[in-house]
Amino acid sequence: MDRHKTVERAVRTASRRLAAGRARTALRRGTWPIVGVASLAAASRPWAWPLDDSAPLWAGTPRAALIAAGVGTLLAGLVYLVARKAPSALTVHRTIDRSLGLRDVVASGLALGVHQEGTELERLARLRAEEAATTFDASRLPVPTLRPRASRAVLGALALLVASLFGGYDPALARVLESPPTVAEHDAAEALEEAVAALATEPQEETDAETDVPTLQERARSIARDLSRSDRESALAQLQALREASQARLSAARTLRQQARNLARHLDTRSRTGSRAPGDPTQTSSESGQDASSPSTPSGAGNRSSTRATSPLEQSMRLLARQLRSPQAAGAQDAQESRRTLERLSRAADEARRASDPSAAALAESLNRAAEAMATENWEAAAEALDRAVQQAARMRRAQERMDRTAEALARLLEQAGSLERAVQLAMMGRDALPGEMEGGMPGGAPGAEPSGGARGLAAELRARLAALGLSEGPAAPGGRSGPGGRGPSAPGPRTRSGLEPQGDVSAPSRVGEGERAVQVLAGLGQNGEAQTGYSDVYPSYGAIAEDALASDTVPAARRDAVRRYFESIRPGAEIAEAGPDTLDEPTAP
Amino acid sequence: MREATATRTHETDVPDAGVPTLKPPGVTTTLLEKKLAEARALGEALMEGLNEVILGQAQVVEHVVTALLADGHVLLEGAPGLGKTQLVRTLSGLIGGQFARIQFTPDLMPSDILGTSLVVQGGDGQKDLRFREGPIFANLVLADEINRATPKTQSALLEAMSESTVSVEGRPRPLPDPFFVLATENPIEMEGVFPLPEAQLDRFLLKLILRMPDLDTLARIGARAEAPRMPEPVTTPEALLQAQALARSIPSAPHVQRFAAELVLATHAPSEVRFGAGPRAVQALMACGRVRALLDGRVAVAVDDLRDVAVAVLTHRIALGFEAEARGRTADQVIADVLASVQVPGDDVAVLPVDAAVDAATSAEDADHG
Repeated sequence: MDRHKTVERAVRTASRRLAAGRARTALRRGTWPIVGVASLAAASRPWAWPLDDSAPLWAGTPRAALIAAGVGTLLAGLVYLVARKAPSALTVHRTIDRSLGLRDVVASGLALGVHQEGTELERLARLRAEEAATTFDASRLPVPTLRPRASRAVLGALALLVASLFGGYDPALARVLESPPTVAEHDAAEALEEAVAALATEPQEETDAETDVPTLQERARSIARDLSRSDRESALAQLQALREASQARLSAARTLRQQARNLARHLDTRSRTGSRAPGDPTQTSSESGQDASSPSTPSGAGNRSSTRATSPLEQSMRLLARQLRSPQAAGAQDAQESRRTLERLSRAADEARRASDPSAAALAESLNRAAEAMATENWEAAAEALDRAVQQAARMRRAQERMDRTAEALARLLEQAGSLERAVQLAMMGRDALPGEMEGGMPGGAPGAEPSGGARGLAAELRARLAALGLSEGPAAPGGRSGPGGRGPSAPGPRTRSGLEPQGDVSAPSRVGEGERAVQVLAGLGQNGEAQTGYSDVYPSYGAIAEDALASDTVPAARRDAVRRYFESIRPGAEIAEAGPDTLDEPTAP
Repeated sequence: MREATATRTHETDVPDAGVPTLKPPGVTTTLLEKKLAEARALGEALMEGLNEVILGQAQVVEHVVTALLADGHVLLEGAPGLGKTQLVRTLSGLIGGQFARIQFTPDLMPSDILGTSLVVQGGDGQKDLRFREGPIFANLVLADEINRATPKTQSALLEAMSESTVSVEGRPRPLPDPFFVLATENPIEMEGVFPLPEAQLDRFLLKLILRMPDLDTLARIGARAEAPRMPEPVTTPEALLQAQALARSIPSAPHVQRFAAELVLATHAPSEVRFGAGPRAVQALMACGRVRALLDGRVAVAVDDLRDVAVAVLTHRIALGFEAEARGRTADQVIADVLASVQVPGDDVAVLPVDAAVDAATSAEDADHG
């Protein structure tokens, strides 16, 4: 009985060692195929596990190594598990025979002695088999070691290393090695992200998905990533998209601002009637701040929003309401004055209706009601409608102020985008930024900019760009007077057209200095001799220029009315005014 | 001889490290093992006696003894002077039975082998037709150059080989027991010979080919000044019969039987074989395997026993096609390929590590003994 158990134990031991030995042998034989497959898997890393935008470029090689290790381990495990199956009893018995140096003594004996009714020789064979099996020593059935020889280990490691390096290759890595990102690109990209972040701090209006701040932020981040990978083509494309989106938002802001300004102009009874409401609290401030509070300077308007409680539009409507409520108003209103007031309200309502601001719709409704009330000589109702319009106008003003601040941030963003674009273009030409180009601001910066560069230079450059975009007053020249266009009278150089934006990209860096000229390529202007922009779209810009000119001393006082009438006549929607001679806006002597 | 047998037995009981020493068995088992040991000693004595006379042909000698104990007949093929006749003569002396030599010639008639009836006048003047036995009536018959006789004569001998009886004048006459035919043929002289047909070749248990001895063996043969003396008998025909009976009772495991069958079937597979071995080959394989196990001190046939005798058993049982002959392939080479193609479970498992371990252990033990 003991011998029988010993035999069973020996057979089990042999079976286990045989299975392990077979698995290890299979593993050893499959080492090189496994290494080969793992190497191929590592080399296929660019397709199997590509680097996304957020991954650093050096991550390719560790990923390839990880793939190789994973695939190798998986294959080795599969080979081991598949090969490590329990051998048959005959195989075990014959292996015991082989380990003992016997010829089928155990295998034949244990097979023959199964049945008790065997012959004497069969029982003897069984006896001998059991005796032999009890002497089985497991150490005589060695299990192959999995430790490879040093040379093979080195070769395998080299193969995996080469495959990992090959799998770590990425076109971006090659680009970075060939043309690494310049310091100027890096700094400009950071400045661009900061500009976008600054834009995000401003209260945001509802915009479409292409121009909302998260999209812009993502684009800025994408640009930075592209530049960190020296993918300048993609960065330029993203930059162009970002600029277009910013331009769109900027245009929307300007349109809103212009609409508000037009509304104010239509309702501005002071310059038309010359009447002054007694005790008008806004009279002094509005007159004295005519230039300073000109709506053509959105940044200025934004900055002044905290100090000025009302806008000219509100003041105009409030004054009109006060006139309507005054005791002598009803009697003093002659027919001509009523028609003019009614016409102004109608124009203002039309102007408000065209505005995209939701508050403008309510304002238009209130103005319509005021006009209807005036048409029925219901002065009190008209005054109440105007009061409501004042409230709507206040909301519009606040929205406008927000838009102004946003526009300022957008202008800064565009400025940084331009700087980045120049840095990228220089890098693509094989140059870094020229001395003073990126540090001191725009090449040949604005006249007011100090050549020493730094924050002051950047600020001056920013002011110049804002002035060029019609969003600020421009750099203050020493002793000069700030005004539209951003250039003081003493500022040398060409005069910038206020309110007009270039309809294309600045594709070449310009340096204005002694003997050099600024070079700008304006793409898209007058293509095929056809206008690219609708008249109604560009009219606000021209109207703004006219207003600026009328507000300044550029236009002689004697000609101002003529100029104003002309622009009124070409204003879109002026058909109502042209319907009859009575409807013309008669200029009133100041 | 007994000393040699005892030494051999000791070596077999503990041939190598790891071979178990049997526990004292029961009475029946002890008696059986005694018979086994006697049979094994008989075979070893025959081989030792033959090897003393026939130098450099140890494997042929081993196969001849195997065929003798398996109750089969042997066809010896070899060039003249390699000791074919001497081998048979020595074997007859070792067995101690009746020995007859028949030199086959083209004019040899069957009656010259089997015997004939003669008119014999007795003492009382009566004339009787009395059968006179031919040389076939011997325990050990040497059919020298059997391929020189006509097919008719050859067939007379082959019938006696298969049936162990001869029929003369319609009356069967049994041949003495044991009956062992050892035929020789000369492969060099091809003129005037009658090659044995395949069907008749199948009657021989083994076909052995004597090859030229190596240089040392030739030197030893040349050193002999006198012809070797005829050895003393080491056994009797009765003891030989008992050994044959014991060999026939050696069992075989199913996997061994299956291996024999697969091996024979595999001889039909190669395209260069015109026809393969028949079922008689399986019987021959197993018979020889049993004797090999007996001579090795085992009580069960092993796969390796069959491998050892496969070439001798199968080489004359297959016919090669024109393709193999054109490529110079021999039957031995084809059978070697067949042997390599047939696997037994366990042959393919961890062969190298196990063999290496056994070799290492053996080397270590040798070093210890040294």
